[in-house]
Amino acid sequence: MKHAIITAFLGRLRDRFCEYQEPLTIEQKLETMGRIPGVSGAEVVFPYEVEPSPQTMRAHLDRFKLEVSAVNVNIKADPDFVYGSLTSPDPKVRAKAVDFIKGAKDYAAAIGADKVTCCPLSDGYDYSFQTDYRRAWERMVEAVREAASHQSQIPLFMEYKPSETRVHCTLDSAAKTILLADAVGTGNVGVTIDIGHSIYGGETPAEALAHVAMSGHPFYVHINDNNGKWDWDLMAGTCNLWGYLEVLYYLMELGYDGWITSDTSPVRLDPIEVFAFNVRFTNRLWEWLERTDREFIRRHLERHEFLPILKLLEQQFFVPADLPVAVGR
Amino acid sequence: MRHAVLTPFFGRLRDRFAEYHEPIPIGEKIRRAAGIPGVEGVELIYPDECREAVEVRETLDRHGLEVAAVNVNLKGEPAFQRGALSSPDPAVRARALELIAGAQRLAAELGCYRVTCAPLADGYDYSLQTDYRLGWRRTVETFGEASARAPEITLHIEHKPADPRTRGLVDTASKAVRLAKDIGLPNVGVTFNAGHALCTDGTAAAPFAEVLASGLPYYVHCGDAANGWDWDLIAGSHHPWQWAEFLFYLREARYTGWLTADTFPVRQDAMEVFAANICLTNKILAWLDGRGLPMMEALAQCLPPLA
Repeated sequence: MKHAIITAFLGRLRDRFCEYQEPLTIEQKLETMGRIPGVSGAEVVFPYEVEPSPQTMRAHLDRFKLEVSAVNVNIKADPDFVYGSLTSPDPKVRAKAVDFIKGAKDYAAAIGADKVTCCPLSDGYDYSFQTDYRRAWERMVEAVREAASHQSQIPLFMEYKPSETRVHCTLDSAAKTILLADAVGTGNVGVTIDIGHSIYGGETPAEALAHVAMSGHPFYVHINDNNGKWDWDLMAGTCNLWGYLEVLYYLMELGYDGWITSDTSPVRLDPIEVFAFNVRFTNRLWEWLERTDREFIRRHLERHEFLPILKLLEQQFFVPADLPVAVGR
Repeated sequence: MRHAVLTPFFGRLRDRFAEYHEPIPIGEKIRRAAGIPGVEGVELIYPDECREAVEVRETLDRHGLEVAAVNVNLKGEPAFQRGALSSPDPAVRARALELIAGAQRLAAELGCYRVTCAPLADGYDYSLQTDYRLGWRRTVETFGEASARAPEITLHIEHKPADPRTRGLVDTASKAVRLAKDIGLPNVGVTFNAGHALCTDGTAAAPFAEVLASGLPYYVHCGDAANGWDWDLIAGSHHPWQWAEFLFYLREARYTGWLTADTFPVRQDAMEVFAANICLTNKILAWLDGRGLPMMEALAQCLPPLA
């Protein structure tokens, strides 16, 4: 299991009201990542959290023994993108957004990364009668097609999210992202499944993952958790433990050997501890799945028999109090 | 009813991912507020926007604006990240008390005698992170001590489901009522935020009815919500019927106080957003005062009673 962290979650964080943690340079962020047990990859944010020179960036990565899980292209923060990027009615804004993605692909090629991921969060709407949904979709398909066709050996993974910064995002579900990849039709568009986005969008993340896998489009995974109401980017498995275990079960069944990337926000907690927990806890669940009788799970899933599986989980996860249990790191 | 606006919405705004509009000084914010037809008051943020009455008095007078309330910010300082009023650290609670006292002094100087506070840093992010009973008791004590120190100033407690905490300690209007009752002082009331209620309940009138039933002093923040989050949208833009129903309850209660716009104009011009708020609300009020009020009263009589 290969673990990565998005660089944006180390260093200064903020919400509408507060700021958290100290600002760090990209080099400091990578140095911190290199110290977290089990982390071997970084998802780097282009153009804001990369060295201008790909050679310098590559040198940092090598020094801290990190791979690049993906280049994440940010097409929401630039003031021009406030009203939309890929779906903007202004052709100049759309062209600028496409150029950002092309630039990210060039950068990925230069630092030896194998994918670009993009979450188009400024594309959407806040009010009824604010946008023509049909034109917005057509524009997104066209823009993604143009961006995907550049450096076509580097796939473009599109990440969906129900909201934020817009009240409703255009690309808000796994199903729509599959439809987008189908409509683009270049064969190199994948889906980034963020577990928290799936949860607060009302999906079951394992089901969303199953659908993306069935679609045949490649996928990539962001881990975190929330209470179903907002993208709080909490630590993996802290709210929806069984749902997270189910995601890992499907990843194992699907033979996923890609990155598990922490999209987790350590706003009020020690960042190193937060990411170390994500890695450690995910590995524990993964190791349990490796050890357990998955044929038993498959057989009962096939027959829609939940109680035998629940009993298995109950017996394995809740050790009686009078038995010695190792507690600690 | 009279219209007021929260002044921070005229300046720099931000969310997790982007920044919007330019930062401007408080005097310019007041000047812009005065330029919106129908605005008679402002709600100022202490200490971020204004610490002393002298900083704003002349500008307010020149533009003929009153202060609807002083809003004390108990979330912005780094020390408050894990809680302010409910913090286990007595030094943090003391700092919260100090800020409330400053806001009370400013409110007295500006002649509004109203401090409003949304204790947004108080809450939790994870299960097993906090003792809910202890957090509540500390909040009752800290707010109680603050209110007792300035009996001439009414302290209004605002409810909000979340943000920046995953779950706010005072997440509903009912909890704000409970908190005010637990404090048990005559100068403690509720700031009822229609947008925060619509965010979780899909209705503003129903939770507001509880505030009315409590008999506590109240003050009103306007806004709308969608998709389960407090987007601070234009009042009535997503829930027009629910907004009209809420205004109907305000009329029924013979409320003559402030309607303060808590509306976040991220992608629009702030003055246009606030003007739209007031225009739509005034039209609904005029409709209620004409045909609407008798119609809604008749409707209420035809339907089974609420309780």
